[in-house]
Amino acid sequence: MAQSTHTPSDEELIKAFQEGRIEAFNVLVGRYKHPLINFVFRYLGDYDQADDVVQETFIRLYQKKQLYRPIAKFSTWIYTIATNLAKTQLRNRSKQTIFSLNRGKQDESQREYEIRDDRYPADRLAEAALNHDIIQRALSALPEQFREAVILSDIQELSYDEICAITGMNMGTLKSRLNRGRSQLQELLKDLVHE
Amino acid sequence: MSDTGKHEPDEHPHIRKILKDLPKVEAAPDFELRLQRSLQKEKPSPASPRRFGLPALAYPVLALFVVTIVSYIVFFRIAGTPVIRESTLTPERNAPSSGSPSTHPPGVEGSPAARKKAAPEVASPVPSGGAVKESPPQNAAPGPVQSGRSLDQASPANEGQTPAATRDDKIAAPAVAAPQNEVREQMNESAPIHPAQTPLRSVLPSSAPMLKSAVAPLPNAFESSVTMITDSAARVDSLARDSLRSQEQRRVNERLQKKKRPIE
Repeated sequence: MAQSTHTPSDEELIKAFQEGRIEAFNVLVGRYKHPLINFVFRYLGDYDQADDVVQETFIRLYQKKQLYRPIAKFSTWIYTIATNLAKTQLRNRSKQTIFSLNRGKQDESQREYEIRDDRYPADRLAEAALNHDIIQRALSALPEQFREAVILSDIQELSYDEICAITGMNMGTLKSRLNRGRSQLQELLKDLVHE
Repeated sequence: MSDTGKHEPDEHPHIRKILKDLPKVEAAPDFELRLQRSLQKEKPSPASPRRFGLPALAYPVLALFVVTIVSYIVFFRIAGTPVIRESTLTPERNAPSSGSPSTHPPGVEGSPAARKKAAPEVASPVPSGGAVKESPPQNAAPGPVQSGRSLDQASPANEGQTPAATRDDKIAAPAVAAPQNEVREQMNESAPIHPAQTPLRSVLPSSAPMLKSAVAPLPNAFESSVTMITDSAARVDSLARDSLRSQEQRRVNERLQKKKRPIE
């Protein structure tokens, strides 16, 4: 019974995986697939791309398992991989958009316009508070560095130390970006927040 | 809250609440299946990480190493050979017809052919000045042998004489030797003879008749190699001295030419 109650930590699992036990990898995938999908989806705003990025994250984990060193938490390591891949995806997407249509500014203004759209009646804004589509658009409208900090802190609920380890920011920069990101988000969602 | 705390309580509580209440997005049910398929696709290519596992500069460094080796062989081994030969042969030019290495004493090591040549002359020791009137041996090179013999006159009978004495003997030489002087001059250009090595017999001990008899008939150039062995300082400075000696020899030859003209 004692064995069944013992839950191996992430570090124990990755160590077992480094020693060749594939089932440890499967356990890690089961643990982190939902949080990573949630984080990358909030960051990119596109579920299919988020799915691809998380798939690629686990493939990298599978291929480069030996690169992990137990000096850092496993969650920090895998979030770092996912963040880097998501940033790469975001840049590739922006390049493709500029190359294909060259209307990035138009999209951005359109987004802002939709967030501040007055067609939403005031009585429906309270209901829209749960509409994650509006919030997601507001998140997507944030600058990249603010968005990353806000998502990791307020959605993924990671500690400041973990966020600093993942993003490479120092504590002051993180707090500043969090504050400015939340302020911008509040400005974007002011109708929603006032309700 | 502390610096590492999750929340700053007084900052944007509504926003944090909205973000926290967002529905959690979950992975698709077939996520793990697709991941397994992707890993199966990735598995056949473990060679690619091995290929890229090499340092990026491995091939350029290897190529640079090969180029370095080849250039060393081309520029130092092949192109440098004449220089080495010149430097090593310069002292040997003093002994062009000896055929024996200059680093070994002539009595201990010498070519059998040279000994055979020397044999009749050993039987009849060379009188002072006699060799000048003799025609040179057919096998010997005319220039060095001739000059060697003329220089040989100074030893042992003419010991203590200056090279001017040998010059006087040469002036008295028959006209048959005159055309050979031109050849000798040409040979002297490439194989200078050292007048300073003339009193070699005085260097050799008199209690070494075998060595002396072996050395006696050999050309002066061969004796110069003996001098080089007996005098280690001469070996060290041989290159510098060779140039001085060659100049001196040229001067001697020029004087000889000048003196020959009025006779002719």
